Amino acid sequence: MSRKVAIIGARMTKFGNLIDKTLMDLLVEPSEILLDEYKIERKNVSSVYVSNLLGEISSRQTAVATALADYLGITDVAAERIENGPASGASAIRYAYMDIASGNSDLVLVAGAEKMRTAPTEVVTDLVSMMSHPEVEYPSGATMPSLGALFARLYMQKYDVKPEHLAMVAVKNHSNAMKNPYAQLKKEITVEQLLGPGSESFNPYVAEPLRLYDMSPMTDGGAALIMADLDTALSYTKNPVIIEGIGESTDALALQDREDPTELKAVRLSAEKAYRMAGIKPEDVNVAEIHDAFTVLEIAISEEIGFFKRGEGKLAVERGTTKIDGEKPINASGGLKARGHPLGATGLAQATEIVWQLQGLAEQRQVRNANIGFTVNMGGFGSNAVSIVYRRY
Amino acid sequence: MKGYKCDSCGKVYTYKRKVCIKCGKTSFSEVDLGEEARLITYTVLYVVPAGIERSPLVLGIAEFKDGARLFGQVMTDKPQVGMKLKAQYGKLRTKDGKELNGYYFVPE
Repeated sequence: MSRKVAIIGARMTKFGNLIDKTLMDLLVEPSEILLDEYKIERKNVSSVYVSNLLGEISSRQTAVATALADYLGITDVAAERIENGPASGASAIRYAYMDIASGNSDLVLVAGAEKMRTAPTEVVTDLVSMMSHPEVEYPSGATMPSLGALFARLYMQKYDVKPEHLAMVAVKNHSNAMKNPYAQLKKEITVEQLLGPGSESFNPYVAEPLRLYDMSPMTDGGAALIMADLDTALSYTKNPVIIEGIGESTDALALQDREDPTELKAVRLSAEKAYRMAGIKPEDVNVAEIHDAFTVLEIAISEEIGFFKRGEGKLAVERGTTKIDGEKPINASGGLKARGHPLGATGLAQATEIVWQLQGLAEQRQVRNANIGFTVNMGGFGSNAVSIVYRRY
Repeated sequence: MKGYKCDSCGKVYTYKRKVCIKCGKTSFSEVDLGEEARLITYTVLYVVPAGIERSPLVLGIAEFKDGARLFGQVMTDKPQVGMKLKAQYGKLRTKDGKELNGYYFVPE
């Protein structure tokens, strides 16, 4: 019989261009705050998982989980780095979940960080594109934005999604980020600015049909969670968040090999697994953070995870259903789009926002009556996804 | 253009695979896909990765007969969905000082 697993607390660094912070700073800072705040004795931590993709190149560093344990003064633990593309953060939560549910560990630190602003853009773009198919995508110069754009053109054509719909996602997420002190992009924008006359210079094409404001930015940042079995968690806090379900799935690595390249099958299947494990339906979710690495993904993913029917995600954006005060708030934090997308930290930042929402700590972004939360963290361009269902205790 | 058709489910690939991603079977037969493909989606990429000399870079997925798809560079300034393309083999980019070769498309 597996044990109930809970999150005791969550913390993140401010996201942005953090030139003065090292990879270790970004891992240590949120971890140390959590250990101090919840008065957790180092000797009680039995595992440290770290999600990070680019440490070798950004920081000339590997074995970062062992380094984090050392910096924090945590000894004699299992310390491992988890790499699953941009879904590394949620994968690290999954490892911690299994570790705790199985009875192997009682108290686990999960941290994730990325330094993306040290190397030149074309170098980072190349590094990130290494998760594409090594034979049929990478050699041609595939990048994540280019694969996102190929998907966007097919998806927008099939469901008559207009550039205005994508712009509305960007406007909403920028507006949400204004209420998030940890977000990278602090700038209100309008649909007129993004698409109106003169918008070609304000919002140039990056990968047609996607423009600059359809993309998540390059971000430095870190985030951390402390997880435990429910009994242990309750000895540290009255307000833990329960992990009710986790599902992971994969799809063909290359976009060209997918049965229907307008679908995000790994996202759909991972969400179905998480809902089934939690015993809930998509309509039960009160607040969600989903992987809007590109604006079009927020719309497409909102359909794949069952929030809206296929082709109706765009209507939800039009009607304001996904705003903080809407019926189905999505990316109250600003999402990857405006909070920022430091690859290895993203899944943990999504979890952090949901933990805060369910603990009632989301301040100006607080969604009312938030009881059940959901995150989906996507890897590759849709080749992997990890979904998590959370419940307020 | 050579294709590889799964003997079990009939899915056709434009490159050799050991296992079919659709059905998991391992037996394939070589088939002729002809010369002509149609562009089903494309992008004009303005931020290209290190190792790519061409900017902007047109990338797309084209479909041969039997639904076999191939991703690649498209040598045109005026890409259009539905346009007819031919695949050619040659240098695509450099990586760590080495040339990477593969298929790219030219308008028919």
